[in-house]
Amino acid sequence: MQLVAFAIKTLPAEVKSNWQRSLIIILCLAVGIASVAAVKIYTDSAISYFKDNVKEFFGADITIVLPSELTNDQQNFLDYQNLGTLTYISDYNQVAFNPFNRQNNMPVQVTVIDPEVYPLYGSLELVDSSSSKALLSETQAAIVSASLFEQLELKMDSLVIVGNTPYVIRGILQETSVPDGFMGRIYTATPPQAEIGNLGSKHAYLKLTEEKDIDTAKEEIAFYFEEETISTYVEISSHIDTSAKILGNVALIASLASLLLGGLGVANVAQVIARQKIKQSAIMKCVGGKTWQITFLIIIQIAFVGLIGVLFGFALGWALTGVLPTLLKDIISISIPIRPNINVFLQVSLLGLLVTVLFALLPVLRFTKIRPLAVYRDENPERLLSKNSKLVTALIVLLLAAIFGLFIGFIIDSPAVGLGFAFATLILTSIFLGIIKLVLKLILKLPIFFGTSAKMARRSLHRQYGRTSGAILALAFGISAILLISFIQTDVLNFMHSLRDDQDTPNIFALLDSESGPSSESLIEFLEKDDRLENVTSMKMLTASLETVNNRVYDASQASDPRSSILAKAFLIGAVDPKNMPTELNYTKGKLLEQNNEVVMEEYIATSLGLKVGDKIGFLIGENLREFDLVGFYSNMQKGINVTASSYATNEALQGLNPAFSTELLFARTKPGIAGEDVISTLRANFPNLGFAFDVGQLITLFDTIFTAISRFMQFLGFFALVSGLIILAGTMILAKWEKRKETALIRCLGGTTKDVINVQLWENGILGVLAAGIGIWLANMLSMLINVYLLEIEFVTRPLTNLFAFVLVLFAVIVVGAISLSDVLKERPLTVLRNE
Amino acid sequence: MEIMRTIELGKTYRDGEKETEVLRGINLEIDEGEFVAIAGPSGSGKSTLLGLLAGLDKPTVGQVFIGETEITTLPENRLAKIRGRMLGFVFQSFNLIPTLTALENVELPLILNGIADAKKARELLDLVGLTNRSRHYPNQLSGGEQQRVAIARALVCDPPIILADEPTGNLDSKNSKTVMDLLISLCEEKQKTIVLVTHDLDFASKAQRTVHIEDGRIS
Ligand SMILES: Nc1ncnc2c1ncn2[C@@H]1O[C@H](COP(=O)(O)OP(=O)(O)OP(=O)(O)O)[C@@H](O)[C@H]1O
Ligand SMILES: [Mg+2]
Repeated sequence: MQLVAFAIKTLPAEVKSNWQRSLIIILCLAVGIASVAAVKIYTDSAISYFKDNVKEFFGADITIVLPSELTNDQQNFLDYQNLGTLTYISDYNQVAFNPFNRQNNMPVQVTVIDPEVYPLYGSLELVDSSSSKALLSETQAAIVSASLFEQLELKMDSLVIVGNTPYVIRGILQETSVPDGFMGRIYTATPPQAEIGNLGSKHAYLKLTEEKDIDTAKEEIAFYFEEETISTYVEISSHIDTSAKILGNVALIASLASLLLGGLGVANVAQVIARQKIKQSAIMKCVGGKTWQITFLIIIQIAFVGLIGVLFGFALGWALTGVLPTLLKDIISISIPIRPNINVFLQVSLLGLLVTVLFALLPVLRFTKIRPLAVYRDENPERLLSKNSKLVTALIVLLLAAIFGLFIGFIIDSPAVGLGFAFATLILTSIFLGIIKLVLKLILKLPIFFGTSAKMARRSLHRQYGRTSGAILALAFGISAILLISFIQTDVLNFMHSLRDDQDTPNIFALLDSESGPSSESLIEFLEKDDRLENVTSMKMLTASLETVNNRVYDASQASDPRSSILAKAFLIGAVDPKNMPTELNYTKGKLLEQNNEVVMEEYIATSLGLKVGDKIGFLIGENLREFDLVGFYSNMQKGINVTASSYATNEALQGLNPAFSTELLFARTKPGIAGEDVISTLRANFPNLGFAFDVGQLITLFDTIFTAISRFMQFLGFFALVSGLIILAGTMILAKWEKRKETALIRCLGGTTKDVINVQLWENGILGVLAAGIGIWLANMLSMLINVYLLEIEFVTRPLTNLFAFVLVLFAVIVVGAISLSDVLKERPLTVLRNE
Repeated sequence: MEIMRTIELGKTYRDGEKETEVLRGINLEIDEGEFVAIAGPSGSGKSTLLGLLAGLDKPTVGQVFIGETEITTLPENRLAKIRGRMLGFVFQSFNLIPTLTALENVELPLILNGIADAKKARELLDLVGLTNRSRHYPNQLSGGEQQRVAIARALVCDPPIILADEPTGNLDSKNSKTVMDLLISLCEEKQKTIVLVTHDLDFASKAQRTVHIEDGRIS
């Protein structure tokens, strides 16, 4: 304790005499901590915001999904319950039309409510902040979502047609939730006319009276309704918590990269500080100091400087949370109030301190193990360092990694992941540092160093390649992260777009409801007349369940995939004409579908169920058990977006069966340059009772948006790693400044000009830059290729221009940072330097 | 009562193939409260001997006793403890820590040895006559002042033995005299054992006993 007090007391003088080094520590940590803090503050604020407002989002304490027909008991229970306030909500899936242009339409969810009591919590937020209660008390009045209002070009106090029910628009909903995608919303007290469209669902929403306990209330309800149909806000809250935590942790781990890189910078500085304190350490040993005490003193002082960096970083991170919503605005449109709490602050600060101490420990320990005899040596005291054994060093490193891993594990609630992350990082970093040192060594051996400047640069690089390799690693990592994400993003999006634009794949799908919707014949007839389309086909799909395999009852527990028991119950068999398939199947095993007793199956589903080509399988379709030979597998994977069935059999084999549910799927392909959306609008305009229809283009646009926002976010984190790299590089150069000074003075004394001095620097930084850029770009390309080929199974394209651009950019940045950090050396007179020695 | 003793002490430096025998067959006994000077020409091995007496270095052969303890075989942490309790060092080149003030330099041994006595450091600065220099950093002090701070530092843990390696080597005659008088008074008034390495025979003559070293042997 006395030691700590002493360390703190003497800290200001220490920092003053070492201000450049302290500054490097502060910057290294601040950048890393900023990225961690920004992510952590934002995700924690988001989680607590959702949890605090869960009742408003959920709308009730308890909801019940009501069956289409209530039993008398159920009806009685609902009528006479004394749990609290109850209100009914019915959702209808419909199509909304502009009254003057039916072509201008959009699917909507119509929510019919009782304006007197709905919502039970919060209020419907309208753009002009008027009260929904007053507006909706009028019949046919409606409140519409902003996206519907805009897309259909509607007007206030004018009409919107839903199905064939007219509503008067009295209010516009403020967009506060996740964007609607391509579904509008309407709130009204008047139900739409029933014969068109379908009733999606009906719910009872319940707000408990004060004295009712949520669990007992649920039990009471469960007496009348099925358990699965009842949900409570507590369950929703814990769902939100779990999924948000997973997302937050992924982001946190990504953001840790720059903090760890910052740690490398701290290690560099710690080493220099400790080396400079060799003599002092020896003196302290002469007056009775032990190695651990001296190490502790130095580490405490470094940690305090680190703490300044951490605080600074936290503030910066907090400020940056202002940027995150902009980056993520396409996927999270709610503005989340940012509330950094003391817990986050403590966690992040501790993390920063931990990184500082862990990374500083070994370099410091190396020098505090000096023998006290060094007090007698003014030159080369390093000869008196006792050598650490490799084994002990390795053990210490492992121990430090374990401590770090456990701490991360503590933050993200999963020690295993934390430890795994720590050790994986350790291994990868060692490998890459090894590679970088090796490559640097090899480059220094190349016969390219002609002339004095080049040779001096080589000497200087040789002297400090241990330290520079950390900077190179950080830079390479940063640039490769940014490049890799942009590569993957463009490759995936290009692939998606090529799918959308591929004339052989259908891009319009409609799922027809056999009971209330239009008949498939009339639709096909209509579509075939539309000259914007080609290839209109349809396919009947039946539900079936897998009952027997090779004449034995199918046992789901033997399959590899835990979901297979559900998969086995929910087969969709497409009925097709083998000679005229609606979509081309991509066969991977076995043969094509030909005979009536044959079936082909999607490979992924089949293998998860444990089925093989050649198996004899029995499907229960409606009341009938039908036996088929499983003759082939096809894969949906390479085909990308493709609405297909999980297996196919011939039309004839499936004729005359009455499955529990059957549907007709319609495929069509627009001609080049025609937007699928427009065709669907026409369809809806003519068949208002059309079930579910969508256009691949719209899906891809949605995917684009989400994917781009995530990529942007990851690149933002990658950018921090790049900045860390530059700071470490500048740090390394400043640390070696003294040597640089001597060298420069020497060049000058030997008659060299400023140009020669600059030349040496250009050589030196040029090599570092080439190395960092080269390794970073190589890494990005290699990873991108591996990911494309093995994971995404899409083509990898080399991008010479982007690579060249990144290369030049990094090289330039390194040279500029080098020039800035050493600019004052250039101005010095040689005499001052040599005299100072 | 002897407080330090060496038996057949020898030191050979080995640098690759080359071996230099610096000390051999040193048998030395120093009594409690004695003022011993070690004199000899440059390179004769005086500093090496002092380093061995303090356990800063390990001898090649022979033994060193401090009190009853044989220190040559002790691990570094035990040695540090002994140095802290038993020995005070004064060096030719002061060896103060530049980022600590005079007072903090004197406090340091107290802290490292876990002695909680806040006033002690100030008392010793008073003793060496630097009461109003306590907040100065070493580079703001003259050589003589720095050496007096170093002496205060050597005394702060109240060790029975002071080892001084040419404490006047970097000082002018006036400052040298101050330092010498201080050492002599420590021996006379506080009964400290003082081992002074010097090649100045004038100073050596002030000691109760002078040990001459030449070519690594006591002559
Ligand atoms: N680490 C070493 N390796 C080899 N030889 C050494 C080493 N340290 C000291 N020596 C040699 O040992 C001899 C004695 O050195 P020492 O420092 O003890 O002399 P000294 O009597 O204190 O001289 P001075 O009066 O100049 O301080 C010298 O010749 C020196 O060169
Ligand atoms: Mg000497």
